[in-house]
Amino acid sequence: MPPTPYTLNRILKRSTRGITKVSLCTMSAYLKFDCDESPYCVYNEQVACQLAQTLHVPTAIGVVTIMPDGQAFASLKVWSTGIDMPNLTHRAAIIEVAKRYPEEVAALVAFDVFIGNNDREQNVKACVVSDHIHLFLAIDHSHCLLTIDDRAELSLDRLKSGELIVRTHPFYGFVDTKLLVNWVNRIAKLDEQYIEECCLMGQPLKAVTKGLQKDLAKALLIRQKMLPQIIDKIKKDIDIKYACKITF
Amino acid sequence: MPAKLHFRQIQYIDDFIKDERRNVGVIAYGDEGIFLRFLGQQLDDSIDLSSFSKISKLTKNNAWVFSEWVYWFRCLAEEYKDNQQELRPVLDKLLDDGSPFVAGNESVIDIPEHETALNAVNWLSDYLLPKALNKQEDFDFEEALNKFLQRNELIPQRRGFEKKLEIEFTPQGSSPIKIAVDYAVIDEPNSIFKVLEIKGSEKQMLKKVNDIVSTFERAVEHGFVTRDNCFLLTNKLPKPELMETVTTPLKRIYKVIDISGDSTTSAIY
Repeated sequence: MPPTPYTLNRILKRSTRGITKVSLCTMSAYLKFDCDESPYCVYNEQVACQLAQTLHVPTAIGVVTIMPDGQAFASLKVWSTGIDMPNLTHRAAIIEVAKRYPEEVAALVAFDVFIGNNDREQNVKACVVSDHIHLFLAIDHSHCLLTIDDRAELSLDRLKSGELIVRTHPFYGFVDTKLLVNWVNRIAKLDEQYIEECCLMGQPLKAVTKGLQKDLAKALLIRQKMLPQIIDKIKKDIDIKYACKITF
Repeated sequence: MPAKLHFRQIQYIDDFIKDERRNVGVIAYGDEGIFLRFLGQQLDDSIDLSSFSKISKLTKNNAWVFSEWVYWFRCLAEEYKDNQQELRPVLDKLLDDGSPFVAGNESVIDIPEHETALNAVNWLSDYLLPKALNKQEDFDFEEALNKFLQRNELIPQRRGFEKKLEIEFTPQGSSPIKIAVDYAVIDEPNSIFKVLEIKGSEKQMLKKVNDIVSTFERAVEHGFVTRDNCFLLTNKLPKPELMETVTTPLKRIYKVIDISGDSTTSAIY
C-alpha cells in the first residue's frame, strides 16, 4: 500500500552535522487522553497502533507523549494541513471506498475483528473522488482491547471467548472475502512474540498495570488462533457481492 | 399559496477561533426534492476548485478536500431525499462535530407561481455564492507547475530526478545529437518532460511545439525513452478553432498534461 503522508507544520533549522543534515520540524497531531468513557484509551491506542504497524494495516500513526498529568497518545494528523476530511457515513461513499481500496478494507475488517473494535463507524478517513490522492486510514482505537466492555476483565473474557464482538462494521457487506481471508491468515500466522511485544510496555502505562498488559497479550494470542473460525462463520454474509449493510 | 423552499448556506470555516465563515454552497429542500449548488460548480456538475483554493492559504494547499466534501453532501442529499425531516439534525451535527463545513441557519423563500424550484435554487446560488474568479486572469503558470511537480513527486529527492538536463546521443558514423529537456527521471524506464506555457502568438506557439516534438522524436528514435514516457506539461490545450496549426503537431505527443486546476490532473506515477 502506498505510504500515507503526514503533515508538517513548520520546518525549522537544519542541522549541519551528519551526512543527511536533518531539519528540525513540527507536526500536527490529535491528543487523546484516558477518560471515563475510555479509561484505557492511551494504552489501547498505543497497542492498536503497534499491532497495525506490525501487520501493515492502514491506521494513523501515533506516539505516546508526556503531558503534565501523565501520558497521552498523539495521533499524527494525516495529509491535510488543516481541512478535515468528511467521515465515511453514506452507503454510496462506502461502496466507492470498498471498490477503490479493497485491500485496505479487507485488512481493516480482519484487524477490527481481531482487536474487538466495535466502534469503526465514522472512524475511517478515505479519499473517494480525488483521483490523484490515495488515502485510506483508520483512526481512533479507544473502544477496543481493554475497553470492549465496562471492565477490563470482561473485555479480556470476551476476546478469549471466540465471540465475534464486532457485530456491525461499516464494511460488512462490502468486503472482498478472498482478500479478507489472506489478512486473517496473516494475523493468525503472526509470530506470538510480536503480539506480546506490542502489548507489553515494560512498565505500567497510566492505569494499565504490567499484569493487565500480560493478560491482554494472552487474550490476543488466544483470539489470534480462533480468528479464522470467527471470520469463517460470517464470511458469506459480509462479502462484497451483497453490497448492503450487515449487522449480526 | 406559493410553494416553499427551505435552504441553508453551506459554509467553510477557515479559522475556528475567529469563526470566519465563507459561503461555499447552498442546500435547498422542498416538495420537489433536495438541491445542492457549490462554489465553482460547472454545467456538468463537476467542481472547478480554483475559486475555493483562493479563499485562504489553507484552501490553496488543500483544495482537493473540498471535492470530498462536495461528494459527501451529494451522498447526503441522495440518502435523505425521501426523508427531509432527518436531514436537519444531520446538518446541525456538522457544527457540533467541529467540521470545517457547516450548514448555516435555515431560511425559507416562496417560489413564485410561474417558477420552478430549480430556478429558485439557481437564483439562490447566484445570490449567495461569490462569483467564480476568472481562471485565465488569475492563473499562475509557475505556481501550477510547482504544484504539479510536488503532487507527482517530481522533486529533487526523487531517485533519478534531473532538472534542465542536456542529453547527448552519439550515433555511429554521425555527429553527436543533443537535446534539452526541462525535467527527467532517469530510471527504469526513463521519462522526460518538456514544459510549454500557452501564450503568445500562434506562430510563436507553433515554433515551440515543433521544437518539443522534435526533442521527443529524437529521444524516442535513439532509444532513450518510449513514446509513452514523453510528457508535455502545459496549461491548457489550445482550442482547435483558435490554434488549428498548433494542435496538429501536439497530437503527435501522446502524453499532454494540463497542469492548470487542482482537479484536472491525475497523478502520472
